[in-house]
Amino acid sequence: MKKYFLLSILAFSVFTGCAHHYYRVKGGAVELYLKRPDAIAVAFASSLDGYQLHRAEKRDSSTWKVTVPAYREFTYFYIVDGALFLPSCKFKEKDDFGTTNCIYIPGL
Amino acid sequence: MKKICLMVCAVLFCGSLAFGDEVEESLSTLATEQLKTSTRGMILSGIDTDNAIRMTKLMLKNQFSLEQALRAQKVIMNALKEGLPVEPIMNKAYEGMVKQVQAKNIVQAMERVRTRYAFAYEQARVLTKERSQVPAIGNTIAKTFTAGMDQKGIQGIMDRLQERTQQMTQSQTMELAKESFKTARDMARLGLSSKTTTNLVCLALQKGYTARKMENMRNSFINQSQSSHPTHLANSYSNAIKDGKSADSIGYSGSSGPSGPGGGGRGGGKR
Repeated sequence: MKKYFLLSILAFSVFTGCAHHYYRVKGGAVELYLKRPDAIAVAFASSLDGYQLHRAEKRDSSTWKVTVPAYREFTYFYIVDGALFLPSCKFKEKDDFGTTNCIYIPGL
Repeated sequence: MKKICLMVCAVLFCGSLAFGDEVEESLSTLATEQLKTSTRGMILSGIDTDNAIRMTKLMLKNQFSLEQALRAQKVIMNALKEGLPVEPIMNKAYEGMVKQVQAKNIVQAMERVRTRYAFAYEQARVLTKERSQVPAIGNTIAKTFTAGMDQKGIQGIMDRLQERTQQMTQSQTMELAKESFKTARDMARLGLSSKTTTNLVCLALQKGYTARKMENMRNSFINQSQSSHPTHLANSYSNAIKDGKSADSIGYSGSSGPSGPGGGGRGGGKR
């Protein structure tokens, strides 16, 4: 029973890619970090520039990083290996396409 | 005088030739004459040339039919005519294309954004007769809508605001409206339902909350939502407001502690 429980946790972790997401504000920029050890390519899109795709930089074996200006609020999402990926985030809004977007709010 | 008129005409003519050339150069083999004409129409209406061309090119790349591309451009031109901001509508188009959404659904989403802003600006005009103030409050109401509030909820807050602001000056009215809608927007963004958000904001208005008290309640709610579920928090806030407690005593207000997506970010501060 214990084995099945551990296996299901492992399967869930692999399925969700152990996703973890956080950010750090440095001066006038915000560095957004996404933990996706399973990903081959990660891109970031936001309302700051009409959702142009920016390739995220791989920091270590599991963490991807993207840096954008932090001066105003913006909505964003990721494209991981060609598929839309929305990490866990505090502020969200509906996207009119049946999913949601994350929102970055300066100072929060 | 005649000279000035001729010079103005020459400048306008050269200007139109310049954008005409740019549209022709950028879309020559890609777009039909009808689409090029419509793109020029967008530019003439006031859309930046680069943006109009970028959007048209992307629509063609993403296999929009001629009819769909024309409809998308029409939505933007209609928004301009109505005095609504076009950036959120164009962004919706870009967003949909990056997400590889079907063209027809993108055009529908663009129309939904336009409708939201039209409704929000209409409400803003009820709150103020000053045309220059309409965009600021209109955009806040539109963002509240986008966050997940429904029309009924927005209308509920509007009704309560109108009752409360009858004896207020214009600037007090605007301040209270701005803080009330910002509070509703942030609560909805935290995942609170439209109904619960409306009830809480309306209750605060009914209990005489000022703009400052509303702002304090919002900051406190955001901070406390890191450790409590927004719905449970809303219940506590509702009970506290009913008991006549002030916003400051409901929770700690202002900024403290870490925040950010997944709880790992840093920040804080008054909004």
